[in-house]
Amino acid sequence: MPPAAEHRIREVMAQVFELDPGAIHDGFSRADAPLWSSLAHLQMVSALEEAFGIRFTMKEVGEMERFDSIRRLVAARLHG
Amino acid sequence: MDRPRDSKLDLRAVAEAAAAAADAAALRRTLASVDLEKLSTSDLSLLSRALERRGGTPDVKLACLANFTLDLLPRWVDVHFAREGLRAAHYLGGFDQHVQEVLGVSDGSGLAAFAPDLVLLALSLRRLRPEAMAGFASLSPARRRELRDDVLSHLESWAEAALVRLSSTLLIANFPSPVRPAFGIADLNEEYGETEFHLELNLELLRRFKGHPRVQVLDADRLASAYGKERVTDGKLLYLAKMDWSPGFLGCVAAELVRHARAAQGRARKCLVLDLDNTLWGGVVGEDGPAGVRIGTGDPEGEAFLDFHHSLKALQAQGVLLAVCSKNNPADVAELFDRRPEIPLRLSDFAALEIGWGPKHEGLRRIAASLNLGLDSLVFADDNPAETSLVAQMLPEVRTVLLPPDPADFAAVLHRLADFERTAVLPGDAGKTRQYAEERQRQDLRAVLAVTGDLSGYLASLRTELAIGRARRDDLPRLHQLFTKTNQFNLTTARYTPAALERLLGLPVCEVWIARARDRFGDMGTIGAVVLRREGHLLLVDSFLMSCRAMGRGIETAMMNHVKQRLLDEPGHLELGGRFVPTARNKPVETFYEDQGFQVLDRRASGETLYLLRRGQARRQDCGWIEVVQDEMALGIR
Repeated sequence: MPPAAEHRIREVMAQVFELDPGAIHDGFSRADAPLWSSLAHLQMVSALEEAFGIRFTMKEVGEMERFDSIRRLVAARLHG
Repeated sequence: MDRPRDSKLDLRAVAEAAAAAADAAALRRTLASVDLEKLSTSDLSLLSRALERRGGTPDVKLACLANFTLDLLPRWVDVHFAREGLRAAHYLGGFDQHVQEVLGVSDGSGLAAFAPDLVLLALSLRRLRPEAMAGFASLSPARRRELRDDVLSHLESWAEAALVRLSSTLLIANFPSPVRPAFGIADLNEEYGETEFHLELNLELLRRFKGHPRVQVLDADRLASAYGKERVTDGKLLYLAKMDWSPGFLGCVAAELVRHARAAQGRARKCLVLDLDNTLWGGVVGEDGPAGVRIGTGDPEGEAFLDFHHSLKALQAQGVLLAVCSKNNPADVAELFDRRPEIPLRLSDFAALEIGWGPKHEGLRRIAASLNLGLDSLVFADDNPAETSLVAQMLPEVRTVLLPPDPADFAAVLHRLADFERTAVLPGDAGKTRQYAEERQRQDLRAVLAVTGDLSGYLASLRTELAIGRARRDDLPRLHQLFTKTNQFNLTTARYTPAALERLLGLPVCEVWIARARDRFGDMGTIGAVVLRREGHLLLVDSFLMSCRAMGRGIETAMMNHVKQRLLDEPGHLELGGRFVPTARNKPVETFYEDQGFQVLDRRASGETLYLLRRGQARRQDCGWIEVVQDEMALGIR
């Protein structure tokens, strides 16, 4: 994944969970973000879909619990 | 002028500025540049969190009840309200608990305690009647009609229960008709197909609540059409989160809620002040000449300006005053209107004209003064960014609108403004400009008479007739308008809601009087109201207010004489009590009670003053130039 795309994911997540983009490390998960509610989760999904012009399936939405899995799913959509 | 393309950093800065904005006007200015229709989900989240940090007292208390997930709506509402300088407090009802919330039986229901100003009810048919809606195609036409009546009666009984238990205005969302009806294009030939079902359901809903003082229909079907019905529901969010309305569509709904909230609170602005050159016509009259400016058929720009005029006339018919503030030679403008009779708006359509070479903020001040309006009642539209930004800076209370570069888009800009929204256009509203024109004639006459010093001669020459009667239910809309709009001649400035006024009408210890006036120049309509309340041996003047149009001719004395007569007519030893509560605007009535013969009982540090008038001291004061008629029919107003 190009660094710019990875940076964009961190930026979107940081904005939704009100964090510094630097705080979002590879293993970053639900447990690390106090604001990661189920509603915020869907906001993050919508925000990523808008940012990359992609669409996740309901099944994928359930898998987006950590930064590295999110990165993998975005990459699969972008290059799949 | 343009925002940078990289809006990311920019929006963080806007969010910070919004969180730190000192007051409502600053907040409005900060958010003016943000295109809310293009706000992304992450931007919304950023902005709404920043607004949450702001805090402050809410202007509107909004409760949202639904049988689907509306949790994102408050975020959108915060952002849209903030852009209007407003703040909302939220109450989100439990999922599918709209009936229980209202009946107050759900666990820990705090709806009544929250005391909302506005309650939105949004129901999804697929959740309200799941089986019937899922199997709609196989229902008989008779069964479909029963379904329609069933939904309507559900809404009606909900509204009935809510109206009794809450003093809020209710906002009931109608139902977006389907983009893809079950029978496809054959749906319109089907006996009571899905489209016909939705059309009739919405039509019946509209008819049942039309004109109701406390129930409004939120036209979700129109909003959905404008937003794009295909996008109203996002399948994934529908199944994952029971979110029948997509996040983007909720933004549309929030924008509409601002309009309803403003209207319910009577916060509508009253006057649109327009520039002339390149605003009301194409070109510059001083350079192109009266024949050279573009307005009228046969020229694309001319036709756009023509339509803009028609939109302005429609606004005027709703009671919005139009005025002109333009840098021009008055003679050039007069000649233009003279030589171009095809221009729809005539000079007489403008309640005030400021044509000259002085700064526009000074012109706007004069317009406000001549119409007896506050600056916060004005909207100013100009095609020149230098003018709008100077006005915005000098007069932050005025809403400024920079018209887009192309007149093709002018009318749309007008329609997007929430400033002029009102819940209903009342019979007197269309005649507002005429009333102000009549007022100018009165003032002209007064100016002539001032030279001769004959004030009583002037007042007599007006031939004022006044009708005072008990307010009825029909009077509620106008009564509410008076209570929300009257700032200067208002002794206590109690801002009663429609529900509160309705309650006052029904209270045996209360009397609500309403005054209508006319004179030789025309009908002034309903201009005053008095609320009296019995408290033991006191007949207390709870509210006493009069439209500023009626000031300065002794009508208030005639109204107070009527109140004194009420005191004298009552048997026993009743006394009359009065109260003055000072505000920033009601200085003109500071000494009203003293002038009317009342004695000061108590003056508090806040300036609030209590007055008493004993029965033995109640004397009618002379205002013989006003003819008071008891029979309202005699005035021919009703």
